[in-house]
Amino acid sequence: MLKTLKKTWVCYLFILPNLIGVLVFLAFPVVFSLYMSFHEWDVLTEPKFIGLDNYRRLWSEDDLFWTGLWNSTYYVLLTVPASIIVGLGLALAMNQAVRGIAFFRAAMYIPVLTSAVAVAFIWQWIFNTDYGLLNAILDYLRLPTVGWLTDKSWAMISLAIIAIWKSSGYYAIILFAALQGVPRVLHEAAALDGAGSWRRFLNITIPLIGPALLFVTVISVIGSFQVFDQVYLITGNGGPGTSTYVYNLHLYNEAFQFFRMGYASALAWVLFAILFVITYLQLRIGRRRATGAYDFA
Amino acid sequence: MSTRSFSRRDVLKAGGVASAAALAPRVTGASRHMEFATSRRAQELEEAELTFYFGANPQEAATRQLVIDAFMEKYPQIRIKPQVAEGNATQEIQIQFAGGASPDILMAWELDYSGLASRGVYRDLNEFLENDPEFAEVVETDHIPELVGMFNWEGAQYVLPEQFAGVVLYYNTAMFEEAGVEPPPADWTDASWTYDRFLETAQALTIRDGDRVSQYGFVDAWWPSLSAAVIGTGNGGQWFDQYVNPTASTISDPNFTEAVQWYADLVNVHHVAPTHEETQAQAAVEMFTAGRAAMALVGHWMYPAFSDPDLGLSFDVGVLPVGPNGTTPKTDLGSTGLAISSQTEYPEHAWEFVKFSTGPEGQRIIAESGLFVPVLRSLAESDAFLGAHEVIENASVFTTGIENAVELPITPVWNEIAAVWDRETIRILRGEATAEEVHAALEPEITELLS
Repeated sequence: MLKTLKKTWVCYLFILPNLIGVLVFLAFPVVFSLYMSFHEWDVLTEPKFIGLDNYRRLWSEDDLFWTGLWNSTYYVLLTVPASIIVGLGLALAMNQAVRGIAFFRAAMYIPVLTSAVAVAFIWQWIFNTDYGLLNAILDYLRLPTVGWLTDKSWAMISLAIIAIWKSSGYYAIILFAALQGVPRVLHEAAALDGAGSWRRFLNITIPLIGPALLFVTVISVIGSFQVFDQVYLITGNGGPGTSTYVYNLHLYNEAFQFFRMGYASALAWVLFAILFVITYLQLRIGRRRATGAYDFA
Repeated sequence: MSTRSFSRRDVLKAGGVASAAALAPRVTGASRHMEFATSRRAQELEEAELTFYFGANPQEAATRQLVIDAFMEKYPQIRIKPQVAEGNATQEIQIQFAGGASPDILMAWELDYSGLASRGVYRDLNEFLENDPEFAEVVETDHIPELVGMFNWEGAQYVLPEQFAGVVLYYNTAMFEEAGVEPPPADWTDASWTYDRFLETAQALTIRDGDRVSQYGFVDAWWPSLSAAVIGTGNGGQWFDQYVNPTASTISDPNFTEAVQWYADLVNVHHVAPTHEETQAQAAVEMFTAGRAAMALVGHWMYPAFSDPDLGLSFDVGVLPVGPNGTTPKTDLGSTGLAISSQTEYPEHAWEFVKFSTGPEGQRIIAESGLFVPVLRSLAESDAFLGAHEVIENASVFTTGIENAVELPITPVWNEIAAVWDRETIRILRGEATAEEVHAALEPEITELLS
């Protein structure tokens, strides 16, 4: 034991900075927030232990908890399937040997790299009801214009459009890598057997990129549930009304507007529990499918 | 939530640094020949550096620096390091305080200070006033009692006021001349400026061009849900049972509700003011400066921007309209002031600075620069302030509103109230719900928050 330590202490020294970082900035806050979720704490005065009161309150007294939960769910439903489909489409397009494809591969990744703040401001102008690009196009086509960010039924859809535009490039890269791993021989053999391209896509491509699709789905569900910055920057406090008041906006308001750190911690842990269950189910279902696919291959 | 402090700051950015620079020599020149008697005790304070936290746009910061420089010239052993707020001031103060690194001197906003006071952020300035009878006399005789009273919470004087910032009605004089309508009165006791007259005036000034409006009669360039409340008080209504430590919301008061509805109807029924969507496309303040609105409700803090010579705007100021059940025009008792952090190591030094800024010396610099409405009665009525507002005729509207100002709610739960009040009032202003139904549902909710 001591002998191994003698040999390996340098390695520990190398990981020490990161280890400290993880302990101080991740592990400690996580444990501390769990502890605080059973307290009432406004940062400045002594925390007061209140048991499960915070959890009881969010369940039975806080309408905005349910509003936020529903809005975030709605946002996930709008963005996740659409951005994966768009991402897959882009990946398939990138997989073609077309002239100048390198340019398009780079271009579709630019939204991923662009800063969220810049994206928010630009899209705010695109969505502007009176002077925005989108409404100008609709107007030109003699179609009715839309209050993209000011109409309650459209605001969330507009936010989803931004999210799809911004994230599908990232999913495309992952799926593109998976596509490149699909053996060409399988396609050729199936084609000889008379399978059309759609058939081959469904029965060869999709099963073989299954693990990548699963990964993309899991991270996009988690990422979308945690949406905050774009909403905060674009619709401010979740307006119009509460139509874009997402879960994390509520958490932020409770923590940094009202300084109810205990309650905000409880909200964070509830979100964690929800995501944990969803991810667990996804992995279970997904893994079964993926294994099946490999058996076939 | 300090939406207001944001907007105050943000809109002022338009004011530009140029005019501040132009003002600078005049102000320093004036401060040079003011030599006030200084207590020997203050001169004997040891050397120290203090941090002063405040919210400011470049223009505001420039004028603040004049006050700071004048102070440091007088007390060379005390260095004041400015720290300008980067975002939400209450949040930043609270976080710095929690980290044990609170700035020594803190700017305080009327709506937000009691929340911080209740958490022990401020020292009680009465401790200093008791040992400083000379300055206590200034506060007693020259300060505006309503403002001093508003910053007195649960028996402690946490803040001394530094500016009065009640809202007024700016109007574009050229547009009024062109339309041949009489401008709003400049007298806060004039009850002839009724809702009906206001509406007629706004209608006469609204110019339609097909289905688009090229010029609106009125625009709310402040914080619409708070403006609505001030308008409500102009109709004899009240929104709280009392304003320092309110215990109940009274927004279902018919006078209050009717006025808020009237205010919303300006947009949704009479179409003399831009909708929420339109002010998103073009900021309300810009609509006034760009000549797309003839009247604008906002406070003195927009004056430096509006009077920028490059803008070439011809404007003046008048009072807000009176409702059918109101007695006189009303404004809000808006104010900011200075407080001393309970964490400071140099309370005596900080006190000298608070005294300087809220006393005759600092206030004179503030008055002559035209940046704030001073809080000393001797200066509000002086040529120092009026001379800095030569572009307009009715500068006294800024200072005389104080007598008809309705206090703002001073409660540690203001942030929570503001969140619901904002959200629900915007529904009324957008025409999605009536003031009557919203207020009936909201009143118990706000009262619950206060309990």
